[in-house]
Amino acid sequence: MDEGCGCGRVLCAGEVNGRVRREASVHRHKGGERKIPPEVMGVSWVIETERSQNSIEQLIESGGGTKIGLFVVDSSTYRPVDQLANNIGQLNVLHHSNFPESTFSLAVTATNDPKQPPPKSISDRGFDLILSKLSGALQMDSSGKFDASGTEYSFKDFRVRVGTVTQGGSVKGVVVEIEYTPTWVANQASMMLSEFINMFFPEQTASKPEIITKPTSDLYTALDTLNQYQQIFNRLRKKA
Amino acid sequence: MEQADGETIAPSIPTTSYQCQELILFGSLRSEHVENLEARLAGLCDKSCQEFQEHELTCTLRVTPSATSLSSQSNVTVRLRRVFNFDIMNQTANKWHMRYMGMPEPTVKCPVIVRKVIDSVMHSVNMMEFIKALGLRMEYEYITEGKVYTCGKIKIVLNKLKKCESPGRYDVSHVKPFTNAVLVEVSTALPDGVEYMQEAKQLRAFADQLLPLVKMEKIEYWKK
Repeated sequence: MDEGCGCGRVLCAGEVNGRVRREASVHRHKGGERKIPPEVMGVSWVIETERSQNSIEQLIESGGGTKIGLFVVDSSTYRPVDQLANNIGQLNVLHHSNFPESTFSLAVTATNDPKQPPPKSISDRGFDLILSKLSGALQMDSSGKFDASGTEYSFKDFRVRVGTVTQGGSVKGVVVEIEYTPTWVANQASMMLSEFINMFFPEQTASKPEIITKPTSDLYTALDTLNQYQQIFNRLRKKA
Repeated sequence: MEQADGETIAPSIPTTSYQCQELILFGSLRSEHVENLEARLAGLCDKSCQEFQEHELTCTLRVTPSATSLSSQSNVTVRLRRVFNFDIMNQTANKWHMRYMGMPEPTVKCPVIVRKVIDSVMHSVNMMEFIKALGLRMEYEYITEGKVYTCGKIKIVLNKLKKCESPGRYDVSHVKPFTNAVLVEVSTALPDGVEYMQEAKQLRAFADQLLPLVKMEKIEYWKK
């Protein structure tokens, strides 16, 4: 990895899979101004909390976390045009600053059949440009754009991202992403994440996402993290 | 200065590195003569050539003209490609290359076709459903196999096209050769917005070196 993957950006399947992460920032930060080791991605648990961003940051810092930088997650909603509204549902397109060259798309099907997993994909950012060509079907709803931005902490094997969620400039809530980095098998990380949550956010223990509790040894991908963010944004939208 | 302007785009819009201008010419020859062309290309091109076998789906977004939209938008076509004979274990079946091709530019003077292309590499466990969710519908699909040569910036692709007789079934008994011909494409990709005339002339000159084996033409495929 260190020598650069030599893969050329577009064909880096690892990036597409979401398993090789910070490709861009690792290359960019080769000089080492950010002292974080090149790492593979882990398993995340994203929570929404009533506490303020400041109080959580103090809590993490007092617990021994070190600030390593900033992070941003954004989510745009594309709604179908009137003629297609019966056939297709809306599409949520997300970006995460930890995966700077990737676009995460989560579709909501019009039929909403619970047996069918919702269509989703990980792509490079060229997809955003293609999407703009499909404006005959899906158009961006600029008022529905959510942003979460804040501080990223390193905490031994954990990465903690604390951010404030805004929609069109108005504050909607606070999210915390806890990532356990040494594994990408969801149920292996399950206990460690529970312990962390118990220690810092005891009121959230019940909100464990299904993807982490599932007993299968499916590999976890970055899309699963972004899906958790999207669920939180959906809840915050309803809360108004 | 142009580049500096390009970088002032809002951060949510990706840089134009995924977007390029493609200069392209097409030609075809009967498959029994392809050996001669391969020998010629081996002499002209860079040392290695790569064989490929890919599955392409062409999907269209049909735009129904409505009273509310004044703009006369035409149908949008998106192509999806993946490696054929995919390896289930490595999930190569789920890795796709999505490509949007714009309408060719109306250039009478330019000796080659110029069109805008946007590429994206995607991974999805349910690509067909995802495509449907984008409002796209599959028009046709085919399998293409052949060889790719490069000569500096120029890419030469020899395609043998095969049709899929029933959709969704790709075993040997359902995939039949389309014709007894090999489709030849020579192309160059340039960054978006740069002057292309000089490269176009170089591409034309290269294509002429393949004469008399194959005649490369600026085929006006968009006229029906």
